[in-house]
Amino acid sequence: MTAPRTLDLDASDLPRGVLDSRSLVWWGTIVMTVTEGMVFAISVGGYFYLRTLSSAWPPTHTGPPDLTAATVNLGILLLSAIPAVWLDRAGKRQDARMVRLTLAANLVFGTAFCVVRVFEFKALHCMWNSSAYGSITWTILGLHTSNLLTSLLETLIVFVYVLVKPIEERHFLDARLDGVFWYFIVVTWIPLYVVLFLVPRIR
Amino acid sequence: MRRALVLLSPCALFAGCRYATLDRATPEGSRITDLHWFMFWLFGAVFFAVMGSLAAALMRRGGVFSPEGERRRSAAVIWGAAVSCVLLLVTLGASVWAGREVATPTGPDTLEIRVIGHQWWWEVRYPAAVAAQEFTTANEIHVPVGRAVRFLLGSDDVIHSFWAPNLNGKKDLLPGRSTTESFRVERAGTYPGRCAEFCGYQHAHMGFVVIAEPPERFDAWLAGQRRDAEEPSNETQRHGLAVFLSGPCVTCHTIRGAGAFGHRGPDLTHLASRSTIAADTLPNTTGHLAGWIVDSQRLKPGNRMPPNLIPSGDLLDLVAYLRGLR
Amino acid sequence: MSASRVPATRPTTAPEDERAALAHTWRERSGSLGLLFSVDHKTIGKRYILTAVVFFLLGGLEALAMRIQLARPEGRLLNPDLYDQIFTMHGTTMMFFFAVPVMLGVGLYFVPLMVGTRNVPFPRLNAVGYWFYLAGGLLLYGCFFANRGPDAGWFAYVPLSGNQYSSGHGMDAWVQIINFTEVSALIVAGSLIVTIFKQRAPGMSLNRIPLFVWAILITMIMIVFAMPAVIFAAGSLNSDRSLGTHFFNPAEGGDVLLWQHAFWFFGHPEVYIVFLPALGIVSSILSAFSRRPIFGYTAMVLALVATAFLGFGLWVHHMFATGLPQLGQSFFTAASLMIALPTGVQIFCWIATIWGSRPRWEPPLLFVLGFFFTFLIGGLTGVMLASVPMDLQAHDTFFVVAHLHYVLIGGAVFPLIGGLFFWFPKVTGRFLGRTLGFWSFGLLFVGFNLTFFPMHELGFHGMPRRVYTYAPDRGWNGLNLAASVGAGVMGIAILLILINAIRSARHGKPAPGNPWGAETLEWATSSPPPVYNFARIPVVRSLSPLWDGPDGIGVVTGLPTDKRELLVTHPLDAVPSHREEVPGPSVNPFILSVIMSAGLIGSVFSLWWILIGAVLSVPAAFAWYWTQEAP
Repeated sequence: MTAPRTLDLDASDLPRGVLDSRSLVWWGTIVMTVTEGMVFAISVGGYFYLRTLSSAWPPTHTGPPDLTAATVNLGILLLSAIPAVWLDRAGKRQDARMVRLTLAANLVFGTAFCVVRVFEFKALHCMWNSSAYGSITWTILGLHTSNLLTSLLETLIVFVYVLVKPIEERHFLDARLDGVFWYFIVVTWIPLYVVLFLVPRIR
Repeated sequence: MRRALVLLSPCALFAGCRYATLDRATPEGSRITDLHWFMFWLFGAVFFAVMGSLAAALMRRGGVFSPEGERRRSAAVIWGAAVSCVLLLVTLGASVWAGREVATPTGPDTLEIRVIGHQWWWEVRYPAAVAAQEFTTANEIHVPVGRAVRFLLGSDDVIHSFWAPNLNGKKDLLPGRSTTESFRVERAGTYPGRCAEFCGYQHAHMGFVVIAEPPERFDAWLAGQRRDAEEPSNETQRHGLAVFLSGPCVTCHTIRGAGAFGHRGPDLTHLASRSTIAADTLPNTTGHLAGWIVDSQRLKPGNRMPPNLIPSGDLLDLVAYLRGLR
Repeated sequence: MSASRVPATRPTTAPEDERAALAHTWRERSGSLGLLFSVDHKTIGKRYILTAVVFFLLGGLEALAMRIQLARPEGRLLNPDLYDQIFTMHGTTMMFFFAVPVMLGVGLYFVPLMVGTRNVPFPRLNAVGYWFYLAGGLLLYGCFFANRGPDAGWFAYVPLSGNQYSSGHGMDAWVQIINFTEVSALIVAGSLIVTIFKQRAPGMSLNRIPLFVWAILITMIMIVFAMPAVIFAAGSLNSDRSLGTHFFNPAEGGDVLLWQHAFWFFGHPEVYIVFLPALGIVSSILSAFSRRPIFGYTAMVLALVATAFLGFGLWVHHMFATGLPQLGQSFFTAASLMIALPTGVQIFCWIATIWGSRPRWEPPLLFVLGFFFTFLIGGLTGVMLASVPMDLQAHDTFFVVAHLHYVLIGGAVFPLIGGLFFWFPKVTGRFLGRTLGFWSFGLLFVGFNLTFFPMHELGFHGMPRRVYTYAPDRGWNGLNLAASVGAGVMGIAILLILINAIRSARHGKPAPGNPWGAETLEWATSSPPPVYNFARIPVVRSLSPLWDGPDGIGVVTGLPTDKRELLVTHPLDAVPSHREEVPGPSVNPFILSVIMSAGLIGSVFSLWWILIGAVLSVPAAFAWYWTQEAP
C-alpha cells in the first residue's frame, strides 16, 4: 500500500465565482441547450418521416413557402450574433456599460426577429390544421419561436436588473450565458431554415 | 374450487393441456413452435448455469485476494461473455431462419381475403373476379385446407391486431396503411382468433374463428355465401323481415336481396350459417340472438348497437327470420 | 488490503463551533410554511421517494383490483370502462409516477453524498422539479377519482387516444401529466449531471466514481436524449386533440405509426432509465456485503455505457406486428439481442465479486439475490421477444406482461427494496427490522413468482393483454386464479415492508455513521447526515475511500462556514477549480410552479390557460431573479 500521506487541502485561496465555462451555471446551460437541440432533432426527424410517406411535399394545393421573410430573418439573426459576441466579451471583462448596451441591442434584434417571424408564418401558405405538412412546419417554427421568446424574456430580466440594481460579478456571468443561449438560437435557425424553407422546394 | 386446484397442479400446467400457440395447424406455425422449444431449452440451460455459479459463489470459502485468483476471475468473466456472444449469435441465426420460413411463399393460386377491423368486430370480404360474386361476412373466416391464404388487413377506426394463435403470428390492422398476413392451413378444424391490440372497451370481446375445410366443402360454402339471402318461407318470417326493414336494424345492417343496405354493422345475409354472434362472444342460438337484439349493451357493454324496444311478438318473428338466413 | 479495511469513523467531522456555523448557514426554513421553501437535495430527494411510494401503493391497489377482476372468468367487479381506466392508471402511475421518480429521488439524495458535496448546483430549479412532479400526480389522480381518468393505455396509441375515440378530458389530462413528469425528470437530470461532472470531492477522478454514481450519470444523460421524443409525441397528440393538427391523421398526410416511433424512441430507453440506477444499487449493496470492491470496475462502467447506447436502438421491437420491412426488423432483432451482452457481463462481474467472499446474510443481500433470480428470467424472456417470429406470437399477450414485470419488478423493485434496507439507516439513523425484512423478502419472492410466472403460460395459451374479462371455456381459469392469489401475497409483503418502515423510523435500532462497513462517501458522515452533509468536504485517493485506512480520507479546509459555498472541481480529474455560492431557501420555486402548473392543468379544459400561465410566469420569473442572493 502507499505510504500514509495526508490528503488535506486548503480551499481558502481558490477563486470565488468564475465567469467562464468552468462555472456550474454554464454547464447547466449546456445541458439545457442539448435538451432543446434534441427536441429540434426529433421534430426534424418527424418532418422527414412524414415527408417520406407523403406523395407531394408540401401538398399540391399549398405549394412551397415564400423565401423573402425567412431569408430576411436569417439575415437579422446572423447580424444579431454580432452584439451577442460583444455581450459575451463585455461580460467577460466585466464592462457594465457595454453589457447594458449590448443587452439592449440584443433585445432590439430579438424583437425585430419576432416581428418578421409573423410574416414567416404567413409565408407558409397553410395553417397548422390544413395538413400534416402544415402541422409539422408550424410546430418546428413554433418551437423555435418559443425558444426565442424564452431567451428574450431572460435577456429582459437581466437587462432590467442591471439597469436598476448594482451589477455584481454573477450578473456578468448571466449576461454571458444570455449570449451563449442566443448563439444556440442563431445556430439552430440555419438548419431549420434549410429544412422548412428550402427542402419543400426540392422535388 | 376443486377444479381450480386440479388446474393448479404441475401436471396440468406442463403436460395436461396443449399450448394454443404451440399446437400448430400450419407449416408457418410449426417453425415458430420449433423456435420456441429451441429457445426454451437453451435459455433454461443458461438460467440454471448462471444460478448455479451464483450459488457456488455464495457457498465458496476463502476469498483471499491473490493475483492468481484475480486472473482466474477475469478469465471466467471473459469466457462467460464469449459464450454469451456465441449463444446470442446462434439465437439470431435461428430467429432469422425461422423468420424466413414463416414468410409463406404465395403463388398464383393464393386465396386473398380482405379483413377490416371495426370496434369490435371483423368485416371479412371475399373478393372475386366478377363483382357480383364478391360477398361480405363477419367474424367467421372459411379457408380451404392446403392452399395458401393471404389476408389483406385494414382498419376502419382504431388499430386492431389479427391473431389466430394456432395458425401464425399476429399482424396489426392500421388505419391508413395496409398490411398482409399469410398462412397455409394443413389440418381441417376450427381455430379461434382474436384482436391482440388494445382497441377500446370491448377489446376483450373481439374474437373470430377460422374454419379450415377440405377444398370441396370450402367451395360449397363459397357458393352458398355468394347467393342472395334466403327468401322468407312462411308468414312468421315474412313478418320478421318487415320488422327488420321498418325498424332501426336496416340503418346499420345489410341483407343482400332483402333490401337492407346498412354498412355500420356486420353483414347479416347468411347470419344463420355462422356459429357465433357479436364477434365470437355468444353462440348463435335463438335465445342469445333475441337477447342481443333487445339489450346488447348488457351482454357487451359499449358496443355500437343500441338497445331495441321491440314488442315480443315482433321480436320472435324477427329472430325467426334471422335464424332462417342460412 | 484486508488489514487496512477498518472503517474510518466519521472522518469528515469538524469542531463543534464550525458545525454549528455550517448548520446555521445551510439551515432550512422552519415552520410548516417553511416546507415550501426547501431547496436541500436531501429534502427534495426524500420527497420524491415518499411521493413515489404513495404512487406505488396506489398503482399496487389498481393492480390488485385488476387481479380480483381477472381471478375468475366473467368477473363482475369492474366494468370495461373502469377496467380500462385502471390499467391505464396502473401503467402510467408505475412508469411515470413511481419507477422514474423514485430513481430520481434516490439519485438526488445519494449522489451529492457519494461524490462529497453539499447540495446540487441549482437548488431552486431542483425544487421546481418536485413541485411539477407533484402537480402532475394530483392532476392524474384528480381526474381518476372524478371517474374521468385516461383510458387508452399508458402507451396511448393513436387513433384510440385521439379526439374521435377518447373524447373526454381524461386523455387531455394524460398528455399534460406526461409534460409534468418529463419537465421534472429533465430538471433532475440537469442537476445531477452537473453535480457529478463538477462537484466531485477532490481526488475522485473519473475512475474513482462509485458505480452507483456512474449508473445515475448515464441514466440522466439518457433522460436528456429520450425525453425530447415524448415531448414531441405528447405535444403532437395534444395539438391533434385540441388544435386540429393532423400528425396522426392518415387522411391529411399524417401517420398512426409516427406516434409509436416517437413514443417508443422514448419508451424503450425509459425502461433502462428505471433499470440502470437499480444496477447501481445492486453494485453498492454487493460491494458492502461482500466487503470488497466490485470486480471489473472498468468493464462494469463500459457495460453501463453500452446498455445506454444500445437502449436507443431497440424501439422498433415494440412494433414488429405493424408489418415493417423485414431487413429493418432483423437489425432491431440483432440490437435487442446484443443488449443482453453488457447485462450479462455485469452479472458475471457480480458473481465474480461474490465468489468466495462469504457475504453477510442481511435483508439487502437477499433482495439482491432475488434480483438475480427474477431479472435473469426477465432478461431471457426478453431475448426471446427480440426474435421476430417469437415476438409475433407473444406480443400483446400475458407473456409480455410476465416479461416486463420480471424485468421491472425483478430488475428495479427488488434492488430498490434492497436499497431501502441498505440506506434506511443512513437516511433515518435507524435500522429497519431484520426479522420482518426476511419475512417480507420471502413473501415478496414467493408472491411475485406465483403472480407472474403463470402469466408466461397464459400468454402461450393465447390470453391477450388488456382484456377486462375472459370466457370460462378458454382454459385460462386456473392460471389466472394462481396469479391473483400471488398478487395478494405480494400485497401482504409490501404491507409488511411499509409497517416495518413506519415502525423503524421511530423505534428502530439506532445506526452509526457507517453501519455496514461500506466504502463510499455517503457513509463518511453521520446518520442521518447533517443539512450541510459534510462538516469538511472529503478528499479521496481511491474508489473505496472508507476502506483505505485512517489516512484514506483527507478533508478540505478553508471553505467559509457563513456562506453556502460549494467546492467546484475539474470534470475529469476532480482537481479543485474554484468555489461557487448557491442560493438558499426560497418560496419562488413554489410560486412559479403553481403558476405554470395552473396553466398546464387549465389547458386540459381551455387552451387560454396556457397563455394565462405564460403571462403570469413573467413576474414570477422576475421575482425569482431578484431574490437570487442568499439570505
